Amino acid sequence: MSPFRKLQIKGFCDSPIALPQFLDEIPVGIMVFNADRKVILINRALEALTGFLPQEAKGIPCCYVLRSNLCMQGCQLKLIGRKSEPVCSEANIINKNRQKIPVRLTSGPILDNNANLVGFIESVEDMRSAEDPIDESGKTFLFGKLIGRSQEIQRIFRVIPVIAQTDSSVLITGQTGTGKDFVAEAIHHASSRAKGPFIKVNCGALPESLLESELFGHQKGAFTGAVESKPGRFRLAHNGSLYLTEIGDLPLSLQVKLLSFLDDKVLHPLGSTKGIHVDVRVIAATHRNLEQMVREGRFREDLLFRLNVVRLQLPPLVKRGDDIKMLMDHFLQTFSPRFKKKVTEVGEEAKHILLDYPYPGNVRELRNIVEYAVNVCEGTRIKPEHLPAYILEYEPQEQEINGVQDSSPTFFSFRPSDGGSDLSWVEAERKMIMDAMVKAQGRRGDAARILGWGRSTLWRKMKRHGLSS
Amino acid sequence: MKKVKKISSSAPSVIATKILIPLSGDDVAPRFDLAPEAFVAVIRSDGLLTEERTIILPEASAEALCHLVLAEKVDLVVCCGIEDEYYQYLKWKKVRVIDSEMGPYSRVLDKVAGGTISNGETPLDAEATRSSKK
Repeated sequence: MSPFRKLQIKGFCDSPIALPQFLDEIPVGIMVFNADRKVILINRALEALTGFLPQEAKGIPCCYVLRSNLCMQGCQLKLIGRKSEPVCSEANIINKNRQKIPVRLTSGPILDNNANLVGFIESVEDMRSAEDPIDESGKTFLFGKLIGRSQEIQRIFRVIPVIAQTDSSVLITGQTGTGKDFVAEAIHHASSRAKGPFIKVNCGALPESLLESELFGHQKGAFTGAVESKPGRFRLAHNGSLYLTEIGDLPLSLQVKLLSFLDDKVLHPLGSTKGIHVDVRVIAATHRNLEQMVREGRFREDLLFRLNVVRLQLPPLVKRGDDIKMLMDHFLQTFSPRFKKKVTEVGEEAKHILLDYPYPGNVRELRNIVEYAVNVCEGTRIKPEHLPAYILEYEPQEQEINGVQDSSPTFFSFRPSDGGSDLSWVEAERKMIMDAMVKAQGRRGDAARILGWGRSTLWRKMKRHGLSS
Repeated sequence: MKKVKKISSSAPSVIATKILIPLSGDDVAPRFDLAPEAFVAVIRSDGLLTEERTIILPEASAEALCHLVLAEKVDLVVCCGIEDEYYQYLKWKKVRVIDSEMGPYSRVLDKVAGGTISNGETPLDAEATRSSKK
């Protein structure tokens, strides 16, 4: 039996109550520690918030478990004496998942029968939902951590509050770097579950055996090394949301178990004979094509139908038009002061190169490029030589020939079909441009849009093929 | 008390790892971004410690510490709580980061020298900290 289970409250009800079980029912993080500020107990809500298991946290100085800014800038427990009132402060913590979370800490003394100070109790309230006010007008360029003003992203901004109000499972799809994690978080914080935990699990990061225990928990003795019972992420997310990222990497055996949970909301931890009812909203995300995986037999069709209740397809960056410029400026303003640089703008030439690039890594890639450029740039303006070499060397046809995923479906519609295999790439590209120009009735801007290229890319290519006047 | 033996100069034939540990007193700082000082040293593959020094930071800041890590050409950062943004940045800069480490820095050095230090995903060594921090 876990040593924590021995902690009992007597005289409160007819029979003694297990203290940890009592605290686990409280939806706010609770930490109990002794007079030396070493942890005695944390409840399930704090386990979800910090990522520490109670048995891991026991005996550790509270500053290593909570990792609050107050721990290093003036511990509020020092203000608490025997006769003190509870102290409340706004703070932030960094959890084991390396997330910085704004919290409200309320600490009070624990006194024995003789009014001696024997320890402290601290509540840790997650303030993320309060810190991300959401403008419901739909006119904002900012939604949680998402930024954009293009029609595509504004459509996402408008739909998130609507999705948040339902309690259905959500499937977020989109290429890597499009902001699936941010959307999942935004849905949680805009929902009625915002006060509950938001637990993220990367289905691709753990081997199958560990993942099952991590998700569904296990009973003590369920397998070799299971010296303690573990609640699992589903139970930690009780009354909140569970975000399963990279759901396409979930092994088939666990897909069955997830499907079973989505059907009846009952968990069966490893080694347990009893099912546990858990109230969790599942948000799943993947960059993979699940329909194709279903056809290949790598993903269960019935699970796809269960998850696909509400589907949100995030647009790739190339389809977000002016957002590229906006994000470029945003990242510039973020990184310039951070690296103590005086970079204020992206030069015209560098801007043209950046606008023509297709961003297979989407916003994350743009962010990395700007970060690199700010690091390298010594002046005030980013020039082409400050950009990573692979951007400068980028030739669109290389990507297309190699069959790397192209975000523009129009590209395929212009693939030469009549004897295309006999054409060299140069000829094929020339034909594509000609076809696009004919379709756009000679308007270069429209032709560039049809081809999914920037205007300057089209101009450069037309010049190369001798098509410009 | 450090168990790692100190020497004054390094032998070129031995592979060395430059390590940085954000400190709060004699312990690993609970937060990377709020550490007031940092311990920098070179640990050779034979477990010997060289070029040991403690740097007082002008202000506690994750950016300043990242700068220091790069300026000092550090190979390994061992810390406790670190924001993902800085973790990913250091990884991108080819710096190995081991987080969720706690307790006295001498113990961390022993673990690095012994090659037993592992990623923060491993269970935390609570015993060491129970007796170290008050």
